[in-house]
Amino acid sequence: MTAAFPSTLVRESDFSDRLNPFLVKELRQGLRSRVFVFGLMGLQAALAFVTMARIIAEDDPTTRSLDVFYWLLIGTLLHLILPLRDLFKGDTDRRKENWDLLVVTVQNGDGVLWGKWLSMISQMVICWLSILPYELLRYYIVEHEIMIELLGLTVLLVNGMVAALWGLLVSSLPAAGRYVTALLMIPAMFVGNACSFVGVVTVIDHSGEPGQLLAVGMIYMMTAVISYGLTISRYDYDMQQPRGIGHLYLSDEDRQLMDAESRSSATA
Amino acid sequence: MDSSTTPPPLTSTASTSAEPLVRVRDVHRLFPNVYAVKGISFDIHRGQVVGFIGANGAGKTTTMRMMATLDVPTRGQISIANEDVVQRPAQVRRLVGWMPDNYGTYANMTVFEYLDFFARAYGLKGQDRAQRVQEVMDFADLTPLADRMMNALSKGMGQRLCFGRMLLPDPEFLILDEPAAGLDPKARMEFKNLVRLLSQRGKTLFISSHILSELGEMCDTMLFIDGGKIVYHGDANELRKGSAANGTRMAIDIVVADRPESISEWASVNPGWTVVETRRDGARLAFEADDPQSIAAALRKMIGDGLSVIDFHREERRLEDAFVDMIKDKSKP
Repeated sequence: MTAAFPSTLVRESDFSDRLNPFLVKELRQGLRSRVFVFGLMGLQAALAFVTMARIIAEDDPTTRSLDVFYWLLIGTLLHLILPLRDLFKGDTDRRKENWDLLVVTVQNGDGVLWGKWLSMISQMVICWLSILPYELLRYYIVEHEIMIELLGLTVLLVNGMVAALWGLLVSSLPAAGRYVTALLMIPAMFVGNACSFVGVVTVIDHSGEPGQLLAVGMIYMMTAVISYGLTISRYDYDMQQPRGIGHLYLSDEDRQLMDAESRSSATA
Repeated sequence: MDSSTTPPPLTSTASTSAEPLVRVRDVHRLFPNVYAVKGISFDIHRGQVVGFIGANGAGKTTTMRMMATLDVPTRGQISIANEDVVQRPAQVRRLVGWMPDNYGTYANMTVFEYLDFFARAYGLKGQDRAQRVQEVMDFADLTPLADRMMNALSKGMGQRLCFGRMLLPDPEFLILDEPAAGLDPKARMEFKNLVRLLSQRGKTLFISSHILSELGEMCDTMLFIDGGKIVYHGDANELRKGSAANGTRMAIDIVVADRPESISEWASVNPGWTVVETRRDGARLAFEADDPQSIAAALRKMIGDGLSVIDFHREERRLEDAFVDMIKDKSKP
């Protein structure tokens, strides 16, 4: 007797049902994207090089510049490259042909934004975790202050999350507004990121007067709330019927024109 | 696609009934500088396949977008299964499948992942979702392409994918905006098969296209729009047959042995004949009668007048000709 097989095998999905659809989509896309793959590989190569150079140089005075390079590298990836990748080209989901297809589903604005943001955070966390082995090496071989460095890394990660929200807000704007806002935003992000990083580290390290720097850094982090609110309003508005208020602004001339056309159609 | 394979059962809907599924009443759409839709009204019944025809800028896409809840009428009312598209868009969206003329692709995403994402976005869960995605892939012949990246699909494959996406929530009413545009002949055949299969399952389809002959084969009802107004709503075969009463004519192809211009000269002095198109070896004429006696008499006269006719072929009127005639008639003062 031949066993009965279904004509086609039903393919199981690789992500749980409980996850937000946009998180699943963005993770699938994001983990395959060149920015993430080459960013992660490049980071590993650069960190390996810097760590080796630091071990070889030992107490050489040039090691200070190697440390600066180490932090610059991590900061650039976590705070600029990963969260702001779509800044100038805009969000592909928001192109009209894609957006229309999303509007007719049962999703809403917060679902879209949460999914996108969590996906960016997930990718940043993967990069962040990949830095930890180098931190251990630095602790055991070069004898760095591991707690301070871990705190610095965490501040960079949190700042990366803030930057991702800024990026989502800006990438949802029309092209012209996007460029202007992005150009204004990037210097502000640098200042905010630097202030919070140095501010937090100096508080813990007791190595200087952190007050004003920390305050600026905290303000920068709090802009996440504003970015989130603005982006969600924009997504929610566009998820509704965006062009549904035209009839409120009709002139008498428009109304007469429509009356005439209605009469003509009825007669025909 | 192999049309002989038995597609999986997509939910069958009720057959044609007296109560219209879609009601469009005195709908206007006025943009800041464009008056796109000017008071159109029509009904679509369950199970109908309706062809929506019009030139570029005639108001087709605007009308379809309003029906799909993607735009809002400036005035008038559209209801689908008695749900108003403006008042209750969420309810309408459960009933409507939308396939735009131009769909975007997602980078770094396979065909399966695209369908799985939209199935999730439509709220399908667990085994239901997996089953539904597989049904749709089988129906649209996408299973062999499941692991292919979206940006590596041909235009025809992409259209099938878009078609599959539209079917995921199993909508009752399908709106397709220029679905066959840019497809090669094989892909068009596949598309026509899909439409036929859906029609057999009792789905109601509303399809716009520029390719009138294709719509004629797929649709049982035609809706012509011109300048934002409906100029014809009726049966496709009636339209093709035409009649003198509604200003339409019989099409006749004539081939002559020499001097093809002689046909135009002859037609210009014989009432009832109009030259539709001149060709290298003859012409296509329109004749204002369709009874055999009149046509036989006309042929005798043609030969009697010295035309070297070697082929005389009566054709069913093309929908393109019917459409052009209709537009001309409506534009007459």
